[in-house]
Amino acid sequence: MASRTRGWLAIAAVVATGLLLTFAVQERYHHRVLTLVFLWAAMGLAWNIISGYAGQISFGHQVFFGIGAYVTVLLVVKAGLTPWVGMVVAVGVAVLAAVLIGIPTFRLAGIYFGLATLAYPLIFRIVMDWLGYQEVAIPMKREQPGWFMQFNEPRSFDLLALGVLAATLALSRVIETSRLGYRLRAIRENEQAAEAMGVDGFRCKMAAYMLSAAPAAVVGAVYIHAILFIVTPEAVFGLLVISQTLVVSLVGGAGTLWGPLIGAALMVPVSEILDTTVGDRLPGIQGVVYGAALMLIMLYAPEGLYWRVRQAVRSRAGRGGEAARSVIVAPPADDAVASAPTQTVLLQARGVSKAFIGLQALSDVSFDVREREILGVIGPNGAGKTTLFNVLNGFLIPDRGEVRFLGQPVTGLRPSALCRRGVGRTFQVARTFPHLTVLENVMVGAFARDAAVSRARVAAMAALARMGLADRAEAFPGGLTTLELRLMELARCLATAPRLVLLDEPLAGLSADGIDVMIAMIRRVRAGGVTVVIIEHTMQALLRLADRLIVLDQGRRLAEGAPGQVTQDPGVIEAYLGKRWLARLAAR
Amino acid sequence: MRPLSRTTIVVLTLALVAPALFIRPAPAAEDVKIALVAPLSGRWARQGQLKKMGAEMAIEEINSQGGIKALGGAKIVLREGDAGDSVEKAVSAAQRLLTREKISAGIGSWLSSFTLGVTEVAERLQVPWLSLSYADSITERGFKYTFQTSPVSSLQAEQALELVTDVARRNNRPIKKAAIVGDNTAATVFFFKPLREKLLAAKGIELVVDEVWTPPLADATAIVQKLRTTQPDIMFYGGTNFPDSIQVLQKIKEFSVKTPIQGVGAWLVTPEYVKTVGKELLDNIQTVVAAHPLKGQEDLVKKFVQRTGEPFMTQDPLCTYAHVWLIKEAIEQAKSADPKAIRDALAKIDLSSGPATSAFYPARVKFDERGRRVGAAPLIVQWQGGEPFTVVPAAVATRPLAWHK
Repeated sequence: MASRTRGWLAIAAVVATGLLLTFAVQERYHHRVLTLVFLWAAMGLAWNIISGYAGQISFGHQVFFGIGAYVTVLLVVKAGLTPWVGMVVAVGVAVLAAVLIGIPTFRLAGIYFGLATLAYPLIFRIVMDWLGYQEVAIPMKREQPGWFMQFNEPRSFDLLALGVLAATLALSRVIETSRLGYRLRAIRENEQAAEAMGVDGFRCKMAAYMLSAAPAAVVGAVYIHAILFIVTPEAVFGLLVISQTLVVSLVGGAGTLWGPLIGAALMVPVSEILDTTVGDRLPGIQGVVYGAALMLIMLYAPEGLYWRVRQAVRSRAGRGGEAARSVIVAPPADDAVASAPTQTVLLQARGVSKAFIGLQALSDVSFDVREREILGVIGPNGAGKTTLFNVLNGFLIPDRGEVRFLGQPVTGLRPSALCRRGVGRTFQVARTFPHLTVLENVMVGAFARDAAVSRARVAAMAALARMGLADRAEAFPGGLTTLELRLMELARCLATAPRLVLLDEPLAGLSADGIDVMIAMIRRVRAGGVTVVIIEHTMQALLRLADRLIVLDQGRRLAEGAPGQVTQDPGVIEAYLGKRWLARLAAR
Repeated sequence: MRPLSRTTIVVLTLALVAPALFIRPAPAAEDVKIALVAPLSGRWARQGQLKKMGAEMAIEEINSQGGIKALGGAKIVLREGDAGDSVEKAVSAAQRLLTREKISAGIGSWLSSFTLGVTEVAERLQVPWLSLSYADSITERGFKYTFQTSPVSSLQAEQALELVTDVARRNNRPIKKAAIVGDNTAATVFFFKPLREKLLAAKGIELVVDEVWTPPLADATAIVQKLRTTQPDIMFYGGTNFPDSIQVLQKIKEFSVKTPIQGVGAWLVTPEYVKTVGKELLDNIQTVVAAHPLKGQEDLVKKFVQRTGEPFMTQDPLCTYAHVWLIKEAIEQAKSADPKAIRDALAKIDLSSGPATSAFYPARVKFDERGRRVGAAPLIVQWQGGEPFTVVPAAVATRPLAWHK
């Protein structure tokens, strides 16, 4: 709660400083620089929503800037509509464009998304040229300058730009502290893990894209009226717009609302100062100096100034203050009661087959998972265990066969949809959201059940406490041990309130003590009424834990039954140890 | 010695000061500052530099001839602003120049989109602004402080076509088929549009090739192939971007296409063309410009060539040279360096001789209520032996037009 008010206070302080500067500055040119700082900060913030929070780097964000500019100006020119209303129309058009661009483009991941976004402003440039809008001047309205955003007083533009900045800051702040913000950051950090935690990646990214298109359009509209006075395709859809946006965001630091603000407050005046001092005597040299400054920042603060400074401050504050860490010990067995498996079938796999080019990873695998049991899926390396898991929770679609959960067919559902139905999972190699704290990692899971941040925080804290990680809540995953990471993943999975959890090799890489802790925790999970399916290739530990085992070999179900029974199965022994061992065993 | 009485002192003082009170005192010869906002860095830096050369030459002449007489021999000083390669920079430069110091008048900014932005600033700050840009829109906004000395694009197309068809007819080579080849930058688009929509049809000319590209041009082969197969009598050519233009011209050379080339703009008469495509090909090229040295300006050109080392003088330095002189004349008439007074003087000015009119055809400077120069008409410049000469209209031509074989 305290940090929440602090965030708003900081925004208020920024706006107050902006106001102060607006009224302190006298010279017209200085007003212009101030307007530019506000506008580029706002543009950087708009970009930051999709590219900073959600990590979907957009190299074509000027498309919305340009749409804002063109729509507003054309409405003034063709229909005499005031830009105040035109801007609203422009926002609508930009958001619509974001949807139309997003539908095909979000199919691409990572850098391919970024490259694809480059195309859209180019298309708009060509279309504008084709329509004959090479240079559109704003008709001067001498009678109603305010109504047509043609103030003679430069201060008015400062205030307008500051208003846009304040609104974009507020929007960023709301996103940052909402469920969407957490989900976007989770997507940025690890999209698959986010999907498994019930985050619908496509919808979240689309929401972020629409939210970032809106302020970009407003900035474009105001920029034309305050700075350029004319629109040309080059000026609004050109590379200069996106490079300036990237400069302020990356210098300041992406992924936080302070980054673009710092970047704009620094780089815009630097560029103008260089223009006025060296640029007048040696035209062009300002570009060289600016580029050099940019390179220095990229070399010494590649994540951006905000993160660099924060890191420095934190490491100074944190020195010697490392809290004594409690060692997690196995909790007392508390699962004796009410943990016997029932006969209800929770999950049903029927004839599941999956082939990867030439390799039959799964062929005709069928089995049932009963409520509240701990089912172990074992098999040697390459037996198809992880493929089976990926089919069960929607990461892969089987070639044949069907999976039913609670009697409903779930084959082909997205992992996020399955998660919301109550299937949670952990990964073979822990997939964390490294820039989120342990608590925030788990909150991403909790959001699958509750959109309210405060309640999700409570639920996440409870899940952490159950896994014995309460005192690590504020740490970052980078500082956790392997055991703690696995417990965090388990807590994150539990926070989604699943009925069934799929654990992919939860014991891999743990020490003997660690395995004890993990086994106790998994029992505790089951004691909470959750059914558990575990993949392991070390049979030893699983024999202690599982009620029932399924053995896979070369994509086929080899055996199924109680642990004692399965280990006696000749087929299983052969698969694990080879024919010669089996012969020796028989001879004994 | 008896000290001077108080009365004596008063009388003496009055005697000394009186002339200053009764005779209008010569104003203190404070420098008059003129702004030049042009691209001095980036893609169009060369054009900006040429403009600067023209302005500096005019200022040197004015100052060495005793400065502005109406202001007691005040000297003119130039304040340059780098428009760089974006409208934002151009507008920033204008705003900076016009608010930092008391600027009496401004010139610029070459590219019409820059000029559109810069004149907004000048209008708001009430500083008169002279421009050679062609775009019609510059003087369609009802601005009071913007003065456009070049014929606007729409008129240029009409007048140029008139000139060309007339010359062709007189040479017994009537134009029946025409080609339009060019990029889609603003200046070119606004030139081609009226040709395509009405002017050609009105003259009974068939448009056989219409090829427009967005720079950069990938390959000119297809375009030149079309020219070869359709054999137009003239090709209207707008390749404002130097590398694109060179590509088209080299292909034309390679395919031995003999179609006469009628360029649309001064970009086609830069010295760089001689080096890149050679004199022979250039002899097939003429272009419409707003200004070029005319008959009787040989001394001016010679002086410019000696000063700068440029091989010849073109539209950019010539116009800027004249703009500075024009501002000087306006100040003389206004008897003030106040921008508003200069604006009023420019609005009323009617000159038909002197360096201020030298760059313009016809040689008269009078602005209409929109700020357009009355009667402004384009010229045709033709490459001959590796140098561009004004060939049309004949009255001011420095060489006769050589009709292509």
